[in-house]
Amino acid sequence: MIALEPYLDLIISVVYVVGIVLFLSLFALFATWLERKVAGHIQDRLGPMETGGWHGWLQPIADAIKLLIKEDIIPAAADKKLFKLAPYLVFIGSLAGFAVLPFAANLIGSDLNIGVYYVIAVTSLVVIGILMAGWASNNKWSMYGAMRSAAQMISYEIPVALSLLIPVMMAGTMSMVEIVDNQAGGFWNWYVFRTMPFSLIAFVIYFWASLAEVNRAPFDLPEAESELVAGYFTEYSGIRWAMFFLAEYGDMFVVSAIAATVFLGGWYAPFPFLDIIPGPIWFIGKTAFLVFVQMWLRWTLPRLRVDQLMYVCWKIFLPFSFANLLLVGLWVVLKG
Amino acid sequence: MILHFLTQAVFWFLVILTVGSAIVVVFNKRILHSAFALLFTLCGVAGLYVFLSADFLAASQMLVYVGGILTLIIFGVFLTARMYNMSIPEQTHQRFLALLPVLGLGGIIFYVLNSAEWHLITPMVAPTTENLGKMLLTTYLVPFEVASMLLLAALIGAIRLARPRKEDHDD
Amino acid sequence: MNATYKYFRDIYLGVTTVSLGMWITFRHFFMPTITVQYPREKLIYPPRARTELRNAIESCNGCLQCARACPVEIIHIETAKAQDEDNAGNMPDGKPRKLLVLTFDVEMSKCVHCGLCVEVCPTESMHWNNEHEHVTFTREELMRHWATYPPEEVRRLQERDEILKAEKAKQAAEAAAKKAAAGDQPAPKPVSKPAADGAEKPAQPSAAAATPAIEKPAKPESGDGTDSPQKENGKEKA
Ligand code: SF4
Ligand code: SF4
Repeated sequence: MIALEPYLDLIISVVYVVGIVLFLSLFALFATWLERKVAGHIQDRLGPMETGGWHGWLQPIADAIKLLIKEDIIPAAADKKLFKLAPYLVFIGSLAGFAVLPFAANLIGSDLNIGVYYVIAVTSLVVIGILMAGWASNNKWSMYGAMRSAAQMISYEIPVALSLLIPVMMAGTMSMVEIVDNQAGGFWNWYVFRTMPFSLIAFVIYFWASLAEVNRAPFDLPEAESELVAGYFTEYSGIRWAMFFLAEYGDMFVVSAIAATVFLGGWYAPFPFLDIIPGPIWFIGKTAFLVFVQMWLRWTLPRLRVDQLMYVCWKIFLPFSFANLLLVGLWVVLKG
Repeated sequence: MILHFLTQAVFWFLVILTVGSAIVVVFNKRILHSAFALLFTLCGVAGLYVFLSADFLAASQMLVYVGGILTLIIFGVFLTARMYNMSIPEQTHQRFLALLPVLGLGGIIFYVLNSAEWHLITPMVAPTTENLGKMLLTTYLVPFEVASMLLLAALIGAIRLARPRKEDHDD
Repeated sequence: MNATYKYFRDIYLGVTTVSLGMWITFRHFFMPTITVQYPREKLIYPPRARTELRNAIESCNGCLQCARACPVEIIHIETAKAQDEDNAGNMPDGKPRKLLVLTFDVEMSKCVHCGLCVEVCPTESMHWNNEHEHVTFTREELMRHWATYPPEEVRRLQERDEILKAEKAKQAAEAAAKKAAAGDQPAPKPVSKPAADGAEKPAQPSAAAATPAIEKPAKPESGDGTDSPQKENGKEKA
């Protein structure tokens, strides 16, 4: 009998990764359904109603099966190697973010000492993947989509990083678990509500800039379907397209989960007596709420123009983030 | 045993990834393939940093090199004219002249590698971030600030150059 | 100063208008939806909606007004005079039926839904049936046959009509000849008589020319024409 003891870590890691991939797929299925329902009801429609009986709950599964058995088309003039590689890169970049999401105190892939920084770093992979997809498709829409996406993601990485620095400064650590632990005991201890109004502004800036990071409306210029067909994944079909799709919904989850972690108290309940409900439920609940707000915004606001997009980033988010950072820094120093 | 083997395998995988894609970067005829191959080189280096338990450095490598510099390079290639079928010469006609700097540079690197004193440290899985931050703001404050000033100057200069000149506008 | 003011005003406007928009969409999120789950629920169309034509054939008197009014000439009607032996019965208004409607075909696929045939129909037997799903598997099915006579019956009645007509013409000619022989009255008067009672004559050749294009199956669509006599349209007009 082989002693399992030394391999326990390894086995747990593998199980965790498989679990995360499963979770991501399930979440994407749920989110597509939710997205269509939210869109429908905001526009006084019903959304999918037929498949599966109750409010069309089987619709995403039907869609997924359709995607999986679809023909995989690679354009003749495409750069085949890069075309095949790009979706995996984007998917890996999105999946890597899950490694440091603290679903609960012990339910975390790896409590990295540089957790927040790590997330910002691995998202760079997504930018490269998108650029690769856009170029390899050999299609002008893909190309424009990729360029816009990269420009937008690089620009908005700065306000995102700056506003994430504020809770990091308040907690004095970049480890996700410690940041959450510092917010224990009721919602008034959450970082959004401490140092009002600075952290609230930081939260708002983070949320909006993260919308641009994941190419969601109103910052969905990279895939603006009315002008660019589908942006960088115009030429993709079947399973490769599904990869992009998964990555997009994965990204939505990751940015919302980070917001929930560093601003909204992670796995802690808003009131201490509610702590009997297990942490992961609170964590996923808060994240799902933020995802819902993302969808809500998408069906409220029209798409921005490129110059407006850049104006919002460089002239509004950036100065406010800097001022915020200085003031919160002062607050931290004065508080000792 | 297996764990050790796995660690070794990952290490050699990273090494081969780094060196292999670096070779692709140099010898590929299509400039964009070179740029994308650079991605794997940089990722491999980041992985090697992790092996050296320099977590902050690894993340910075990803953020700065992959997220920033590589993206800029690819953007630069994108904005080049005729980029779809552009090929770059990967050979030179003056081979003997080229040999001189190659040998010279190689000699210097070899000398440095040979003469340097290498300390074998036991890899420690201790966070480096705090020490890094303290050192950057105390011991190495001046180089740090000088580097940021340099970058700032480059940034402002680039913006100045990119701005349309006054006389270009009629209004 | 002005630019600073504008900058902050823009931010203020941005925040307030986004909040307002989100409030509006939030309210709509909880409003009742207006979707009609179509195959299961159906909308009731307004009474004058131009849906699909239907002729309540038992009240049609074969006056051919609709066929003449139709701008695209897709209504094809053949009639025969009713005789005592036919037991043709009465019209809905109680008067005895004078004409048998042998064929009443409408090429629905060519209809432009102008509604003129419905307007002119004196008996209001031509009406909109308030259904819009006239989907068929073949083009031939879009040819609507509303008359209930089987083909051989149609042929028999037409032949009888011809014979009767010929007899009448003969009688008229004889009468005219008699009159001409009897006195010095001018010819026009007797000639006008047969022309007047054969009012359908000019229409018949065109109908005959158009119908052979499509084989008429002997399909007595009796259920079709009788189950919806004049619905809302009758009331609406009245
Ligand atoms: S509604 Fe149709 S059948 Fe009636 S007159 Fe107009 S075109 Fe002819
Ligand atoms: S106008 Fe009316 S009554 Fe006359 S033939 Fe047409 S449907 Fe019959």
